[in-house]
Amino acid sequence: MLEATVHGALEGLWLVLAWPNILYPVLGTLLAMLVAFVPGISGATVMALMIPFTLAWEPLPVMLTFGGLVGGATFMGSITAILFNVPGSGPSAATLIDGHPLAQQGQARTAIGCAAMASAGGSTIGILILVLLIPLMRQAIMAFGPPELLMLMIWGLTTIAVVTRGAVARALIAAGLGLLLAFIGQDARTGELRFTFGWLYLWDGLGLIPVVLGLFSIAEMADLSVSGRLTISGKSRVEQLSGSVREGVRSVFTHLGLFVRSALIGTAVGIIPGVGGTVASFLAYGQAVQTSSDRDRFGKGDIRGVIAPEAAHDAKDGGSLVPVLAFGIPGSEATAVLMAALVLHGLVPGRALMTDQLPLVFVLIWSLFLSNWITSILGVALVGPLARLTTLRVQVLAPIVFALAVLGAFAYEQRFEDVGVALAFGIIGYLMKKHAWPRIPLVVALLLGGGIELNLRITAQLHALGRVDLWARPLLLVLVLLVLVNLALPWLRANSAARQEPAS
Amino acid sequence: MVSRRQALSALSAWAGAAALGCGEAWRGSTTGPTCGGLAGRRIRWIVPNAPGGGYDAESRLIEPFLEQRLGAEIAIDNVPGAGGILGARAIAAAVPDGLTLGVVGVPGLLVAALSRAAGAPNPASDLTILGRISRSYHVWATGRNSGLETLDDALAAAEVRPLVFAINEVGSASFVSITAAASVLDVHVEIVAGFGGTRAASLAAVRGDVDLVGFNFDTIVDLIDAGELRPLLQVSLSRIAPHQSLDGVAILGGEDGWALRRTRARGRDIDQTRRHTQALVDVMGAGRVAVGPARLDTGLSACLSRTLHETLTDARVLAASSRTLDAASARVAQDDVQRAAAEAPLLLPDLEAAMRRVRQ
Amino acid sequence: MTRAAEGALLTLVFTTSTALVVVMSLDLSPVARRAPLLVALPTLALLAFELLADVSRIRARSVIEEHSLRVRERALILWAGVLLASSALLGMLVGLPAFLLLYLRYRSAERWTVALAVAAGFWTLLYGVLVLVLRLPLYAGRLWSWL
Repeated sequence: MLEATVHGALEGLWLVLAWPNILYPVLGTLLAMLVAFVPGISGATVMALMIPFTLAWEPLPVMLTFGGLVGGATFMGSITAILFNVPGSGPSAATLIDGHPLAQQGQARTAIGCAAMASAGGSTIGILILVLLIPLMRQAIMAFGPPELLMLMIWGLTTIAVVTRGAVARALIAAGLGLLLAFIGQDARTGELRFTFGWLYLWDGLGLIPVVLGLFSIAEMADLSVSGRLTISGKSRVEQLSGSVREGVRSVFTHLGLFVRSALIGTAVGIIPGVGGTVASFLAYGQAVQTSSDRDRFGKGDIRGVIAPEAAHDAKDGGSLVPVLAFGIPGSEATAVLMAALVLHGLVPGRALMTDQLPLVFVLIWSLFLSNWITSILGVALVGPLARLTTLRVQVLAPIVFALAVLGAFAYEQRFEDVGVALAFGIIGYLMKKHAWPRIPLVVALLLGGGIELNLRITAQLHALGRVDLWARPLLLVLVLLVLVNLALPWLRANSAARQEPAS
Repeated sequence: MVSRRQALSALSAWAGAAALGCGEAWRGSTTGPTCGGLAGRRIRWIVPNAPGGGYDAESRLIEPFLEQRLGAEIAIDNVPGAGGILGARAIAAAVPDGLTLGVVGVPGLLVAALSRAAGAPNPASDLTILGRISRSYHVWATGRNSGLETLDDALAAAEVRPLVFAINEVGSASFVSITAAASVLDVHVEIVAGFGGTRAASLAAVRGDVDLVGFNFDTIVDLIDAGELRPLLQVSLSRIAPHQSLDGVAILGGEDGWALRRTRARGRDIDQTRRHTQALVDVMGAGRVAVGPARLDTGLSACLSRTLHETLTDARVLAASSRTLDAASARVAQDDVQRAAAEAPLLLPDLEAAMRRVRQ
Repeated sequence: MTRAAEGALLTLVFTTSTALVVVMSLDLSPVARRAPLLVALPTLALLAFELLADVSRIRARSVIEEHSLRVRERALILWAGVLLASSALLGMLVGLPAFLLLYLRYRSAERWTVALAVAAGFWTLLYGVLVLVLRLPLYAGRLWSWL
């Protein structure tokens, strides 16, 4: 198996780098980058649109192109998150927590440089683990069932306790409200419609993107606009901006442990079908706060708050190929479209593809790798003009951001109701910020609430039917331990600090 | 290795797409009927799921060929949500001028319409059927390590404890198929809902968390081929496909089918079983159909149906598709849908009882 | 209205919404209402305490909100309405650039040239990327279907 893997990898690399094959991932990356700049347009949308074009192509250029498309979309959404507080996609929502404050402090270049390095590096780690897991793909996926998913999501929810400091009651209330919002829609277990007021639009619940666009993008820009602040960065000339790309890139190496941990989290979450990049980003952000001794700057422009979600977000790409290639189970929306494209070209994901077409599989993997680095390099190359945008007057930028947010909310699922939702949450988000209500717990709870309820029910039902023995699942026990540690750590730290004070 | 000629032709396709707008490279010369002046117009083709789903993939497969035949531009519009109801409603509510068409899944929509799910259009009366694109019958499949080799084993196990199925959501086509089939077989099942899709539920069966799944054969054939799942029952009147994995696999319907066999053995009402089995097979077999709004002009509808059928039976489309589409003309598809709509109420009592059980 | 009063009003909105969830849950089956009630009841309890705290803040601090801030907030809400109306009536392709034009000219007091340039640039982005390249159907706007 190892020999076949190495041979497949080398042959795949040769195929990617050969002329004119290399043009496919490059063009795919550029197209995805261009499109991903528009919020709400995901990589999956671009990939779906490319399918008719590629029908007559051979499998090789299909793999080359789609590898580029998967990798090209992820980073650009982070740039809009950093500059304008407008996440290009769900996973970028975690980046804006600290990325945008950095831009507000005139350090957009540092933030973008950091995001670029963390993205490219994170995807490299994700791909490396993907390759190492090729002989163990099946076992890796089989290890994650509903009980493990439940604990993983609870772990994500406990990061709320970590991320918010001070007004614990308000954080809990915000999380509760987020969970209640997550319950809107059809209950999968009973088929009943909950809290939809008879409105078909709410059948599938509230979309995360319109809510995030409202709570963060619209609300923050409204706040800036009302506050009378002149520019995003507070500076009116580019020369006044501080920070640099080099500083940003270096920060990833300064916090190497955090970067690697975050990339591993992203890869692991990517492997689990149906969890998604947004969860990966927030989990990584949470662990970044949790494992830091000095946490005061998080949420106010801490570079570690950019490293963690960016590394996880891009590492997830490599991880999400594992269930696709092993079982034909899409790990994300983008991989769902990828699967559709593969099937249309007679490439059925699964054991057959992995044994008979390994070089083609590696063509996909290498294209993804190349695409992530192209995106980051180009992003860095554009840092100058991008950072300049933070010196534009808020009164000029604000309507553009509002328009982009509305466009993004509509583009998400082509429903005008999402625009109303985004604007309504924009007002709510503005008021929440004004009156010191934390918004992150609401978003995290909205993101995870549905999955927690479903997996809790499934686990309880399977346990009642005698189908699962919770004590015989080692991964589950590890996750339970992690959750307990997560919950105990703040209390332990507080105790430790209290004991040290009298001594000093 | 990609040849230089292939690369150049693909590159020109890229450039064409970027500069001129998508579809130009495929349109070529206009051939075929103009279908009441649709040539040069833009047709909105509604797909009731997100990009990448089965309906989406099939639509994107036929899109360039249909464009060529109609001489019109087809813009695929994904309208996901509410189990396909939102997309179906969008088609039903559109102006019947031939500029809004789409694809719907008849089984799920029929059940939703009959159980009066909010605003679900009835495909038999609220939409104009233009033709069937594909259909696939359900199979019951178990994980390779489940210990269940045949349907006999499963039914024997069900005498001691319920058979546990994994599905994505209550009210889905899978829920309907499993509930109705379990009823005619007179077997006790427990349904665990909430899995995030067909593949996630199938993985639960592979893992051994549940006994069985019941899904479209086409959707899980790759897992069957890989040896991860083993089919135990074909929810049909006859063999579903000439696929070797179905050799010797029990068939639900037909005079020699397991439904009647169990009914005779247990002294239950044979006619009722026969009717219910037929209803189940007809509802599930109505498939995915291309539709337009109701009250579409007869001539326009006939032209669109003809063009669609020619597209679906085009050798290039069949070659490009990796699975059998099983297309049918508008007349056949309409008859199938009408028959399914007439028989679907037979399934309602069992479905409602199952829903009441899961809500306790 | 003082800032404290506004804060209390926000808490009251949250409390009312959560109470509504509790009431609506009672119409659901036992299985379906379990999770919402498990979350809503403790949240309601916490909100009650927060509301009390907010009310006491109203009494303690009677600082009236700065008038100019109120004016800017109201203006922003009005413009949010303009954005919603223009995109709903005129569609994305026309409504969003129209909003930009009006906002930049009348709210941001920019010159016509700047406002037109930004609106035209945005339209180019919409049309070029989303319509031409991606062929994404943009919301068409109600007004055109009425006309």
